[in-house]
Amino acid sequence: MTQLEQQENNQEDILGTCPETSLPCAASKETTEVSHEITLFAEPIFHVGNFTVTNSLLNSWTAVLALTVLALILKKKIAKIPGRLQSFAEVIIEGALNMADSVTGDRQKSQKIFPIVFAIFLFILLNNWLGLLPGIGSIGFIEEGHGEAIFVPLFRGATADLNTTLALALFAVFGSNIFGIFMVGIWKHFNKFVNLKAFAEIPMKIKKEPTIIFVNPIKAFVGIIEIIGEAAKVASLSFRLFGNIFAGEVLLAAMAVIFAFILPVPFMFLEVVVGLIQALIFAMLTLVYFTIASTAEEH
Amino acid sequence: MEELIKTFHIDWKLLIAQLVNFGIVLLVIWKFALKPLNKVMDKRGKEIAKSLEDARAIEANLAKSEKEREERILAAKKEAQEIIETSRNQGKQQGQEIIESAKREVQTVIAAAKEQIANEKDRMIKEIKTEVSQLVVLTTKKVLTEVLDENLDSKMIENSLKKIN
Repeated sequence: MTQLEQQENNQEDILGTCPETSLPCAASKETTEVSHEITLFAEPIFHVGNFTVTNSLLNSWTAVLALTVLALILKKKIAKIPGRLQSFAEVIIEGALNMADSVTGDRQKSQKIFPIVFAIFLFILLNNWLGLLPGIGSIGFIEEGHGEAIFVPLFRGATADLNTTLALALFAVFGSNIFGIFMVGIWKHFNKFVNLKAFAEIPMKIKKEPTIIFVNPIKAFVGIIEIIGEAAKVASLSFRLFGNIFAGEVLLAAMAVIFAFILPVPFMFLEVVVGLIQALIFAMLTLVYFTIASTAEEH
Repeated sequence: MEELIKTFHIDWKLLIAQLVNFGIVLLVIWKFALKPLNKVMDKRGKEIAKSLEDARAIEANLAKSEKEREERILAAKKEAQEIIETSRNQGKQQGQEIIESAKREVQTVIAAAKEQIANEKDRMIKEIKTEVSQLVVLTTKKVLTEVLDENLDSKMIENSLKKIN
């Protein structure tokens, strides 16, 4: 429902702000003085109540829609003797599962983590590539306010918005911790960070190995560092993805400004590869975090 | 932190919206694609394994029945050989027996014939003896009646009888 409403609203916006031509408003940027700069953040397109719908959110919705349609088509076509789509999906899933096995070292654990990691991979990949489509970032409208005209693209790659990457990174890190709690138990998992067990061990083992009085406080301190590490994971995951994709968009825009024909093509290919690699990195790191969280600490 | 939020326009509502988006993707991919696909793949894998197993079993069975057939043929051949052998032996034996019995019969027949002949001979000799003695008696009677007296006669008869005996 909201999607339909929002699409209608989009069209109204286009027509409303760009009435003189039915062409994309990017075309009119040469004729009028419009500031056309790439912002670090996603621009708001319209509001529903007090909820702001940004251009990257629109893109994200498109990706969700596309993936849903793809999944539904796949589900409809699933048969014992696979068709072309199914065998393609099977090859990819089989390969991805093998890759996951090389990280987790256990098919059962891979099977548990796999849906999450694979969904992350597909979602990021599609969003990365959607951001490269012609029209995304170049179709938009001109917003006038504060005495200046600003070009606002209607679509923006969802992963070129920190909100998306941060949401995914938070999901990955919190998800891995919840997964860890489920796999090794809440007490053991809690002790990875606040290592009460290390202190509890000191009086029990001090006669056998006196060095424990030095070792275990260090262990406990390492646990505290782990907490910071979790926050660092969120930051590194979100900023890596955001930075790469955003930089790609800036790069393509810059190339297009220098010379709009042919020149951006190699960079376009580069960005396709970067999109794939970044999706893969995000998914693999998520897999690694899940795996680490699901293994009990060795003593 | 404030600066960060301002620079990147971090909005918790948008964050949640993106999270929801991802949640939908996760759900859809899992429910509609991965789960049924996995099921089908597992099923197919199992089926392939089973059919391979079946094929192996069938092959083994085939080899077994082939072997059995050969064995049976071999046994039948052996049996036939045995039957022929025994029948041949039996035939031989029977022939031998027939010959033997024939021989025996011949022997008995010959023996019987010999005995009969011997008996016949004895009887003849006996008959001849009696006849000859009668003849002698007659002839001597005749001779003596004409030539000799009673004394001589009886003496002579006795002597001659003694000689004969």
